[in-house]
Amino acid sequence: MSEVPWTWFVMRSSGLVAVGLLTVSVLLGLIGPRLRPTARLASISVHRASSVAGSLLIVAHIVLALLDKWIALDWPAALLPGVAGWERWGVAVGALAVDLLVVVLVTTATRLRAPTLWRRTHLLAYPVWALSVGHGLLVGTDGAVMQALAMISVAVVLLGLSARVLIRPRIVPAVRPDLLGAGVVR
Amino acid sequence: MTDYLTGAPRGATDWSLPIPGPRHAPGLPGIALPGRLPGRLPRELLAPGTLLLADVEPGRPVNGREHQRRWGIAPAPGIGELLARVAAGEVVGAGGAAFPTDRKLASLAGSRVSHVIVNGAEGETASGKDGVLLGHVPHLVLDGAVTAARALGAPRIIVRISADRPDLATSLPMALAERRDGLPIELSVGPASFVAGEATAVIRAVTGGAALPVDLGRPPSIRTGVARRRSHVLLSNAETFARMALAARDITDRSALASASGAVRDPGVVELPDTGTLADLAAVAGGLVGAPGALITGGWHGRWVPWDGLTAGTELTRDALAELGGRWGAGAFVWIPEDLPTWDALAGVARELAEGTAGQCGPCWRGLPAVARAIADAAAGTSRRAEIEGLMAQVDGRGICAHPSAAVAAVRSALDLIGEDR
Amino acid sequence: MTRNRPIDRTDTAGRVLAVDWERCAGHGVCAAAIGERIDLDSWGYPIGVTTRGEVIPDSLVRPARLAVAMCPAAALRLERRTRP
Repeated sequence: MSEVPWTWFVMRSSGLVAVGLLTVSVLLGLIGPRLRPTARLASISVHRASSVAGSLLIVAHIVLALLDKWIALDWPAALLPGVAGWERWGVAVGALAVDLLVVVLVTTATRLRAPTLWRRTHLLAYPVWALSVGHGLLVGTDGAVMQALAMISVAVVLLGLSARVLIRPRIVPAVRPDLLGAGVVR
Repeated sequence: MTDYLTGAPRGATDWSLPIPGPRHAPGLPGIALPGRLPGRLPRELLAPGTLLLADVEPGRPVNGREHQRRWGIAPAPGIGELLARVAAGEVVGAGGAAFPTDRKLASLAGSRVSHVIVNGAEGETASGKDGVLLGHVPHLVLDGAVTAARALGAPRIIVRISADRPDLATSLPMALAERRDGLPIELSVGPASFVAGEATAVIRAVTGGAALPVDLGRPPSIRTGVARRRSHVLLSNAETFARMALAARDITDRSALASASGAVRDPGVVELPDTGTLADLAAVAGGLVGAPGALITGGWHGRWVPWDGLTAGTELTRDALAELGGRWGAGAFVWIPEDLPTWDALAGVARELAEGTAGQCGPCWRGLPAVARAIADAAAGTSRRAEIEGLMAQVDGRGICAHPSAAVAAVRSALDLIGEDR
Repeated sequence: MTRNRPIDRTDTAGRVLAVDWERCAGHGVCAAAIGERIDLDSWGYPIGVTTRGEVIPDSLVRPARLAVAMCPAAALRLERRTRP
């Protein structure tokens, strides 16, 4: 049996666990607004923790992949979709996920100072999740495990989506359409 | 006004308030008192005035040439000189808050002022004086705005009116066409609702945003231009600018410009000497119909007082009204018809206040309709006092603008007047 | 629109919690974070110290910061109130 470096295992497992954590984060992002304030507070904390942990694992995943000698990837491949020498499109999907993730993380870090920007960009978290799952399916060498993970992840997110749509919103939005608008006339 | 809560999810405020339906008062033929306010809206000038509207025939605007003959060319004092003259004239804000205008100008001196805005929106239905001024003596108002703009170095003037005044939307461009100030003056038309006339709502709306109140700091500042540079804005009521125009000409005479409506024969706008009394105001408005029991002073954000000899003899000054327990506000006075129970009148005003919210701040937008509904129940006979008090305690002091607090104060004064425990 | 300006008042100096009513939608997370000082009114909006403008004692600064950080609408801010 040939020696497989430990970094290979850690790279793959960090990717798998990252998908799991992102799924948790997306689920909580979906159902959070339907929870009571006390539960919502806890939900937000776990949502943030899982996003941060997942992002750190993604960093580890990328670093180890770049260091790995068997797959020939350089650092631009991790960020620019389409330039990879190995599994070009599978890696491209991952690179796009990383790009969007960076946008989400930066806008969240500045959320209090620029809340409208945060609101408009945070929905990118959904493609980040979907692209991560897709990347895993395309290049993941763990076949059955990845497929199982993908199915569970999609099922969980669909469940969350249903809960979000079916449960009655707790708050009533408060803007009067008849008061919007300036109207400058000569 | 549209019922903006239509379509709200279950549990939100219900708009089917049991307000008493349309009523007809004897002695007021053909005038229906809708379930919300007593009487017709005071839009017309009833008689020539004493100062701002001196020798002005109702319905006949004063054009540029006549204006110049009467008042001369608008002076162009520097900011220091203007401050002195405005202070000498004791000009205060005529939109309701009565903030000394010289202090307002002083706070802007030396800053970059990008806009001077004449607030003629007059969202308060019980007031008609700004429309009368802009319609009859637009050049006096504009003189004030131009003088202020020149003194502050502001490059633009905007006159804001509401969409329910198509007459002004027609007459003002004609007046603007007669101007030769060298300063661009634009007309801006906004939604005809109570809160759209609030100062910060107007500032936001004319600079490209929604007509909703917002925290702009004091003095209000905005970011303009591509570079989003910070600049200040001078916004004042139309009447304030008219008085500024006189003060700039070293005219320090005073007058009372008031709107009379409710149980008067001819609702409308009157200008009297400030030594005149509330009884004189009622007399010029065609006299009272019947014997009203109460008077609303200062409009919907004002104070309710009993109508008796003491009130009738009160002079038309801010101080005299404050001493009476009333409020000058925007100079709007509404006599409550004798056959309209005060509870019903309050229910109507409470509904007006509830519909006047911006729909922006939760406690106001949810709380005032709840207060209106509780008052309507009380008007129908059920005891609701504790609930009304509890709701008002949750509305008072919250939100961005003064509407919730002012509404609560007005309702409290009405409840004090009614005196019952319901 | 200025957001991060200190509130000028004439009484005690210290940190105060202020609500941005344009953003507040009544989520109620703040009341869960600093229930000792913030309650919810009949419609789910924060009432209490945010309305009265009371100073937040040092012992409650952490829950106050939590409330600010967790508000889904970013409608809360912790400001330094200075004496004039």
